[in-house]
Amino acid sequence: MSFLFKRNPRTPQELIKNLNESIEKIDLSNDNHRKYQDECSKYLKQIKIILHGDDEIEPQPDQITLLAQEIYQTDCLYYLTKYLSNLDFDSRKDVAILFSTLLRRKISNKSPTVDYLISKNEILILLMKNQEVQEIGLICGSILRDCIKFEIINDFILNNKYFWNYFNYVQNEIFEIATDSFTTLHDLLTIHKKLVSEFLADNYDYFTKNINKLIQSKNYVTKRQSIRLLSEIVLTRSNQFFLNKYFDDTINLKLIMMLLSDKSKNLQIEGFHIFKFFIAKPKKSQKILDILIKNKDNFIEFFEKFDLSSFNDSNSIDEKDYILNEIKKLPDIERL
Amino acid sequence: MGVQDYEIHGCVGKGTFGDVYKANSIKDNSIVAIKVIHLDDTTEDINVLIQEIQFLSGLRSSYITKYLETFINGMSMWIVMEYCGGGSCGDLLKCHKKLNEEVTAYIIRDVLRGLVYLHGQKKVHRDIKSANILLTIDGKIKLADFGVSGEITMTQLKRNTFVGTPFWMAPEVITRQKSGYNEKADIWSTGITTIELVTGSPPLSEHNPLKILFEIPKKKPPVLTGIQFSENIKDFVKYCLIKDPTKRPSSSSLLHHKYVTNIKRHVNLIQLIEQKDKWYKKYHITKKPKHELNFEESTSEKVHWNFDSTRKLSPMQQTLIEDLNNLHRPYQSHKVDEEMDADSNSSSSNSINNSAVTPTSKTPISSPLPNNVNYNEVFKYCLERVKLRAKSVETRITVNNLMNNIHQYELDQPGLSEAIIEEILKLDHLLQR
Repeated sequence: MSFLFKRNPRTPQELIKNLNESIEKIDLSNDNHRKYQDECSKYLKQIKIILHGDDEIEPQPDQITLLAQEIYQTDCLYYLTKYLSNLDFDSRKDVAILFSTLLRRKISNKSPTVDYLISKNEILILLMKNQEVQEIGLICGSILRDCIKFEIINDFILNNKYFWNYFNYVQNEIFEIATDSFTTLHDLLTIHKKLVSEFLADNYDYFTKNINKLIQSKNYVTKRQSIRLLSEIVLTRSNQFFLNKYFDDTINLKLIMMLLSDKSKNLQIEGFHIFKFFIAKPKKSQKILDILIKNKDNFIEFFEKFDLSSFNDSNSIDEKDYILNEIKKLPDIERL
Repeated sequence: MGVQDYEIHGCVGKGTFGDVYKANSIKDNSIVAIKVIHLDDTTEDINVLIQEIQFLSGLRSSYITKYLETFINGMSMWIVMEYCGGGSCGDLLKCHKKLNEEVTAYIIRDVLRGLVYLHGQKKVHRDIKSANILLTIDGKIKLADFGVSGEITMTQLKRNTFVGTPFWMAPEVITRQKSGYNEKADIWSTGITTIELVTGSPPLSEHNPLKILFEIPKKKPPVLTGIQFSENIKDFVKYCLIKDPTKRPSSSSLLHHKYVTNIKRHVNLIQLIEQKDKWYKKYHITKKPKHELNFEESTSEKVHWNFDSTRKLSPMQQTLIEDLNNLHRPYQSHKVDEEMDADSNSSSSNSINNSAVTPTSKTPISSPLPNNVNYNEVFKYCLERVKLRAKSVETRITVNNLMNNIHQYELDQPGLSEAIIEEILKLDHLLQR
């Protein structure tokens, strides 16, 4: 490391200034882009050493402070995000490390990077938008997931219109983009419980419409993941309001019943773990009861054959027996 | 992006969780390897698999098989990777029985280079063995099959179900939990693989793998012995097989070991590959997939759920509509209501020429029932259901008589059943208004 300083002596301020200048010069259509890419790569490596040290030197707190201040003041994170796809493959990973390190930095219980990102929210919006861009989508996803560990950022994103794009991103035809977006969507809706419960209560209709659409996806993975996510949401105690509303709606019941008869065994099981709520809910709406009663025979026949033994889960088997019992207790369809 | 982009040539390998196929990419006419994993066969959280694929997609090293893309086809996942036409080092062993020290050093050096990259990315391969070291047609070495298979192998191990052969496993991998070991485990496996390549098999392979599994941590590390082997290789193996992982050297420091630095420039791997291919051809060894490739989705019987939540319909009407579905005729019951609402005049098409009753075309509310449904059947079906609901024998006999009579009436007066059903549906329509 020391040789780098000897050849190229720099203060953190200079380092950031040079990085900002070089990154704007990268023009992928121009033959000289490698030169600027290499410069950026070199600067990012030096930044990494200031932050983390290396075999020879320990990170210096005062250097880190100077570096961080310069990064905020010059909007360096904005440029790194904006021109992320112009950087080479390894440098993009370094950008993610830079974000993650800065986010963890705390000054008297406050994270200056979080404050900065909230004030300069274009960065967060860019990260959301770029989730579906090939080559950089996964990096943006991982940066964003680091950001939303902070509730205030999670809040900003949930209440931003671009949030709803995630329901499209998760259906992207590029597998990695789709699944990475799903991971982000999952985190956004599960980490900060109180925030999420308010969000789900305020956006019940739109959210339900969107998650139901995913559950009906033709893509096996999208289907299986979205049912899992829904399960997790309804199993979260604080989402009581959502839960009550969801299990009162016949559209949802129909959807879940379709899952029970899906040809995939795993989807049937996932469907079952949601279906049980419709049965177990103490106060059922009349419409829900109607459908349940009308299908009583269907259900009895279905659950008597429903085989969970291969899943080695005695809990589920008990639950199935309970559900079957509850169904048998339903009134019979009215006779002539 | 999908199945249609590839032409499958044949199976080139098989594993517990998926078979590997050679295929031609139609887009750029290149040869690729496709690993097909059946997702519904495992109840494991598929997120583990997804994370591994995401990790794979973030690797760029010439010593690691290149990841190309993944897509979902029905219930299977297709992972498309660079194709290594030279087969695996395991295949080489099958033909040549053992490899000489120089060839082995050349292979192991590139394995170490791959590991340096992988470990730099904070990743443990977990499954280094000759079968996972692939060769390109021009003799380049590539590490394959990490993660995707490794994670699953480990979870399987925890569940005490099927285990891949444990001969290559480091002692700490066997004794500790998943979180309890690190990249040093790969170094141990590299040592075992070195022995495997020069002797033809890993140490202890004469034993039952499940029995030996818990012996490995108790035993002293294996040593390479015999005058035919140089001191360099023996020393190299000794370093790899240091039992304490903290004392075991890293991949980057092993790259400085004399055994791999003293490699002569020309190691003729290509010749070995060609001999192997000839040998395979001579003995007609072909690999058969464990699972059949399934392009057609299997159809299982569906439950006929009743989704009607309107309360006005009587159970009888319910049954009627539902059962229309069950008749083996192309007919969609839900259309009945929609079309009843529509102010349609096209019902004349339903009139049957030899009908004994007036067609409905002149009535204000049209009920255009599809004319390809046999209404006699509908009636019979309904009455059968009524019969099932009968509480006494008398009722059943009465219903039976009714059925016979209706059948006779319909034969006498064709179109009667249709007219009656139309009237019932019309009544229902009026009631709903």
